[in-house]
Amino acid sequence: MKKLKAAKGRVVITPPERSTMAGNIRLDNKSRGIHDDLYCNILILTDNNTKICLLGFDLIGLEYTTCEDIKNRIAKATDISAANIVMWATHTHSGPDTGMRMYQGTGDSIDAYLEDMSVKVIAATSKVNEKYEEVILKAGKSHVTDLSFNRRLVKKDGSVVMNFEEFNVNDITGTTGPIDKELITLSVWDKNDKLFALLVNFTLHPAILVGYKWLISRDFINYLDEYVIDKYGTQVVTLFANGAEGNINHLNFQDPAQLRSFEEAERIGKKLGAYVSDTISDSSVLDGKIRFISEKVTIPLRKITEEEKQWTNMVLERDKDLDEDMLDGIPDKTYAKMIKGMLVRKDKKFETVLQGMAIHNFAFVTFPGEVYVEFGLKVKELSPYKSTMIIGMANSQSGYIPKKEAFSQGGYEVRTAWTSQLVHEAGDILVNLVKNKVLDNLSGQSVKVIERKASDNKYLHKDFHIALNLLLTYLYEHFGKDALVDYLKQYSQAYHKPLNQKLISGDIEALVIYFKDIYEKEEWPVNISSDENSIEITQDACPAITHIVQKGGKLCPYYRETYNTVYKTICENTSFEYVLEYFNDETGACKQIFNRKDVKQ
Amino acid sequence: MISCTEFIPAYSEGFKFFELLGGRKELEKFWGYLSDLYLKDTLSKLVAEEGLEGCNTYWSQSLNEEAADFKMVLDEIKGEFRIDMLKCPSKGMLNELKHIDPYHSYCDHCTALYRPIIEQKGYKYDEDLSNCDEAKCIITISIKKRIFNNKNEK
Repeated sequence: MKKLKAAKGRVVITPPERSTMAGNIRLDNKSRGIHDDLYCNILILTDNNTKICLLGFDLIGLEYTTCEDIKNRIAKATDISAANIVMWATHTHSGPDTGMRMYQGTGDSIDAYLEDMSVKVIAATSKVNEKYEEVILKAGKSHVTDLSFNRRLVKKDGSVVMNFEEFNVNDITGTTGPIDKELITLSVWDKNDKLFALLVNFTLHPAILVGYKWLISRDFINYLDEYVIDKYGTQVVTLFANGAEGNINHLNFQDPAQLRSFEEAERIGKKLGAYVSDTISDSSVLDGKIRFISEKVTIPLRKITEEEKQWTNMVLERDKDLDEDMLDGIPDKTYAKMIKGMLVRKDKKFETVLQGMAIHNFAFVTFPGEVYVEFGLKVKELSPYKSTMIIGMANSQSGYIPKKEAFSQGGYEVRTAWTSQLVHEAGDILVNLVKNKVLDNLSGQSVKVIERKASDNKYLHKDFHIALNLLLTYLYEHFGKDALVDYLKQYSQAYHKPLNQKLISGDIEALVIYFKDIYEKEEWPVNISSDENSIEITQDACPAITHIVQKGGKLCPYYRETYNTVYKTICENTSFEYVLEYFNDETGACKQIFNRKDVKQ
Repeated sequence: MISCTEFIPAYSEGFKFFELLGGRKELEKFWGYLSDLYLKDTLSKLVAEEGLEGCNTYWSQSLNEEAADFKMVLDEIKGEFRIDMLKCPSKGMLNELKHIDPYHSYCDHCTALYRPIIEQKGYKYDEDLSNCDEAKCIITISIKKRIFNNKNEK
């Protein structure tokens, strides 16, 4: 089984109190305190050839430049390649506003937080990288159907409403799309079969709290972590990676009484924890090398239309005296301010990196933002791996990546802003890129085919000398020298019968041809001189003995009989005799002479 | 000297010799010895350290050196390593030597040598020897499904 090692750790990245919070727009968006700490959870896997560092951040998102900066600084401080570092945000809506920078005027405080957080993460990763343990990886997969919901509801008139907006439940006919039921776990076990670390992948917006009570929190992930620690011990580091959650949240439109509270986050987190535990119980061991790919790609940015420009100007004027304050969603004025900011940017393309890792029948691939669930499901369908994690919000924050049809349906995720900035076709472009640049590359590494014709190679397998030496040693040790000699006689009588017959007819040239041929095939220097009555063969070493000794083998005490007995047997019933004039048992240096018996030398 | 190009007939004659000494049981004892010692630092070590890729490393070297006619697939996703031997250099050579009869169950040595190592390392070893008289065979080594039953709670 392929040996794997892992290192794990975590570092608190909780922002200071009164930090600007993400995930919703409020008049006073400063946090009022900390409910539970935010972490960067660290898991490094290596098979001694490839080292992959996974960093899961309890943040709403991380911009590409921030990710690249942290990766490069980790690479500088450690032996981990920047390209082999995978970073993602869990997308908690109750953390600092690191992802979208929705608020003007908060740049300085967020920049200061990001630098402080980066320093902590780089130091923690460097420390984690110092201590590895031999581990076994196991992958599990199950279906969870009662925790996540497609949040785009279809009304009887065909229009679409978000499940966090106002609607009459009797007016809803269903949702615009599916959910991703798959819960996938990659569990890491130490040599004592204790859970060492865990990567959990499930598709669900951590927007249960949305800054509830203005407190910093990991949202339901906090309770998932508590469940795992309670069940498996405090040594476990759990990384939660969100899936294609762009249009998936926890709100069941048929349950209008559903609360936004820590109790609700706990209910969901602990229930997910129980599902995780069941999934771990039904995991299979992964056996194989770590296959990895990291590819830089660009996606075209959406053009701001004339209509959007006019709307922006109109809203900024219309709402100039209005406060930006909304619990779910984004107020018009904030949209308008974001579009205004987007109008002055020079970039035409969004730069990011797509990554993928595979071991045995498990894989993960990354997406740069909040991708619609349909794209995640499509990638899973295209993947040859039995379990394929979709890790969203990885390596950058591109905003929402909706389906093309959603743009005509309307709704929260499609409105142009920093939160939705890629071209309408971005999802399809990304699925193709993930397929062609990530999955195809990984499966190319995972599946190797070699086809050879006999004529493609020359026949020279020197290890056969080792096998023959073992055969002779076994015979000698179990049955004695006589048996060894008898075997060599039997072999020579059978195999060299044609040569023996040629010698009986006096054809000494046949013997010369034979020796020249075998030494040429062995690619071994030898002196062969001959006339019509004799052949002399001199060598400084035996190719067989040289190979056996080089490979650390112990030579059979009577190895010289592969010369003496074999060639004497060839001469049986012929007019030739074989003389092994000298033989060095350590090197096989020797002089062999074949003489015509009736001729005086 | 018995050159490495002459090993195959020497090997086949060795099998006959062991069988004469003590029947098939004696031959199998020798194969067990050979499996332990000959493959200890090669196949056995490679599989222990590299898993199925170790099989690929071992056989891609040995079959290329032996100038075999083969197709070899390492499919980590399926958890399988498979050799389709289209012309076994060993059995093929014996078939071509008209003056010497191969040991009657020559192809059994592969199973005897490889299966114990592969199974000891936790893999499944399957073979199809139905065409071995034509120097053709199929060897499949695969990962056994190893389900984990969670007994390791704190």
